[in-house]
Amino acid sequence: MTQLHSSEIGAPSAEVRFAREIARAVVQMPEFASLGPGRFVQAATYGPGERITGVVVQQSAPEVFTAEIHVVLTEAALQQAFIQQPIGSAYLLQLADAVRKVAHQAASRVAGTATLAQIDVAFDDVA
Amino acid sequence: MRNVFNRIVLLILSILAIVFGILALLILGGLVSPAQLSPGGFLHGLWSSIGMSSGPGRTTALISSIVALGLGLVFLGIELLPGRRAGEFVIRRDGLGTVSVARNSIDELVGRVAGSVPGVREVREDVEKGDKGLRVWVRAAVAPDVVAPDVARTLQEQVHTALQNNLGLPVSEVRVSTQLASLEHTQRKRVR
Repeated sequence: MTQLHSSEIGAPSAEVRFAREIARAVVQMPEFASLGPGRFVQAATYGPGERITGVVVQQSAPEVFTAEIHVVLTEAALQQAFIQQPIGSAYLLQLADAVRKVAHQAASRVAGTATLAQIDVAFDDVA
Repeated sequence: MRNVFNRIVLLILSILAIVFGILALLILGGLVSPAQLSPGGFLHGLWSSIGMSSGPGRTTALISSIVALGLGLVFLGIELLPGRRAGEFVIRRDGLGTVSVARNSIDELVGRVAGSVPGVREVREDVEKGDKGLRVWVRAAVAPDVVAPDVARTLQEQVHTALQNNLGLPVSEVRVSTQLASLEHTQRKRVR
């Protein structure tokens, strides 16, 4: 029989801890108005009594996780992306790289021995 | 994985609804008997109740069958039609993951770029993913005091440049049509 310690009952899963940290970090980036809800299905990570919308963290192998981050661009960022940036700058790709970097940094704070192997970034909308 | 699971469930439910709708209609039309559809008595009670229904019950059964069939076809269509995934464009896929942009964001930026062209008053846009890159249609209402072909050319160049250079996606064609009249008879999007 499996025994649970009281501290483990209701403790957030690794997915939830990752998602929480990533969401907290990404939403602070000035280019984003908020995290996105997803396009076709609700993009969220679910934990006991908790839902982190906009970040989907899943375990793909032992100690290996993947993340899907949905963001809503601000008008200003869109403006910058398509009007003010020099030609060839691929601003959205730069922004996606920045999101990945922030997500990796955030995840490293709670990762322990786990790794975030893949991060998908979806620009869901403009607000 | 989550999306795949949801889609498989939706596909199965759609197919079940279609099969139920067709079989119920066949029974109601007297083309097959409940016994023929119930090998080993499976679901015999359900088919019998449909087959033996009369009056308002029969009408209800008929409406339910048509609704089930219709909903099944609609959801199956949504899942299987090629445009289903056109709601987002993947602009990069590599070992680190994918970067995608929602179609409405691309529409928004096309509208914004088009709106920055002097002389453009209103714009309607549509973006599709073709084999050789994005295909963009722009319909613009222009001011009466501008040279429409020049505005169209500028608009074409700017949309092409903005998409190709900033998204990193190839653009195979940008079709622009201009008019003096307002676009208000169709779904209108004002230039900001």
